[in-house]
Amino acid sequence: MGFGDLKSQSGLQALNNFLEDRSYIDGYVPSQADIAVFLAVGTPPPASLPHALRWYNHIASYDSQKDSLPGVRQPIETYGPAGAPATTAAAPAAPKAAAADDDDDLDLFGSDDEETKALKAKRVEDYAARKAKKPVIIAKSNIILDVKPWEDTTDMEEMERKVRSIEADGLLWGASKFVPVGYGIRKLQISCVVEDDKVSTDFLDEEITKFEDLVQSVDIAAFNKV
Amino acid sequence: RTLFGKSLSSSKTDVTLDVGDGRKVSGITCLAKHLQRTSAEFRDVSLEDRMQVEQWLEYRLYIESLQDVESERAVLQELNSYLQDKVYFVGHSLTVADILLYHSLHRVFKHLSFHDKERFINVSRWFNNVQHDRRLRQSLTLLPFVRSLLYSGTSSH
Repeated sequence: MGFGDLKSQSGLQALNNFLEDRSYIDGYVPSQADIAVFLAVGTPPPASLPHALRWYNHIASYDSQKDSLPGVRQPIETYGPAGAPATTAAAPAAPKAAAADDDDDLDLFGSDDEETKALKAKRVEDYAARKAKKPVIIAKSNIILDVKPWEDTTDMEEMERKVRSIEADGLLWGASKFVPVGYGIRKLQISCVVEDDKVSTDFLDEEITKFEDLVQSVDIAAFNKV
Repeated sequence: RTLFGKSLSSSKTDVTLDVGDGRKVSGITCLAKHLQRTSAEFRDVSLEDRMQVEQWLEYRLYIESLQDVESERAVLQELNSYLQDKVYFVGHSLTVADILLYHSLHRVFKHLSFHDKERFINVSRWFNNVQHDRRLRQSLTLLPFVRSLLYSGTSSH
């Protein structure tokens, strides 16, 4: 709400933009709204803000009638573009210690002064620190492997023992079972939980197939993210 | 033209005002000039301003005669730069010039795109301001003026 500080360049700029397609502050006839803003502006705006200047000169001509114009004078912040400024200004302005003047909070177009710069830098720092402290979530996956033997006479228990003997950082073996696949052959279905960064499926594949005499092939039956 | 509450009669081709004393003024331009010079509403208007109004009334005839879009654009361009620092055409208040120019330009504005309305922002501003006066607008339609989203709200140019 409002133009900001109407004595500052940014406030006048906001007023100028507002008046580009408007003849009056409020509605289509001169009213107390115009007078209120007129008094807040104080001196004629520079020629670089043509719409503000046009409006100013026009309202100045109503000087003699200023009390008889329609409407009721409201606080200056209620005039001008509505909405956005209040919310965007609220966040960075809230911790501002020196913000006694309401108008400063609504200074949308103002460039950052020293105080706000320092404040912003500090807040960025705090944010980074908080992020660093946060424990990093480790990506894990649950993999179910199908280990197939050469023949039905292959010692499945032996195979399981061998598979479980594979150790690696980030590898945890889970449950297993023997699944019959036909002709008396059973396959070993074993699940494990791995940390994605540390153990890859290629690694598992390699290690298991090292037991050549027992293992014919390894397949990934399922791969789920935990 | 109930705006002036005077006795007005209009035939198909002409408008005639009975000013009493058996005299008649006809033709919109002359009528407007007459009202301008004599009507109580415009008594405070300075001579200089009145002359300006009359000039605009003449200009209006030119607008009425326009046939093609190109010359319409040229006119709008000229008016746009004229209205850069003015709220009304002459002086600081509504004059006959505004009234008649509004009526003449309504036709032009009716078929203007929003983009064009924004291009001629000053004329659009004036038009939008003036058209909201019911007495002025009378039976004409209220035309919409919407700024493109690029300039809406508080974004800076």
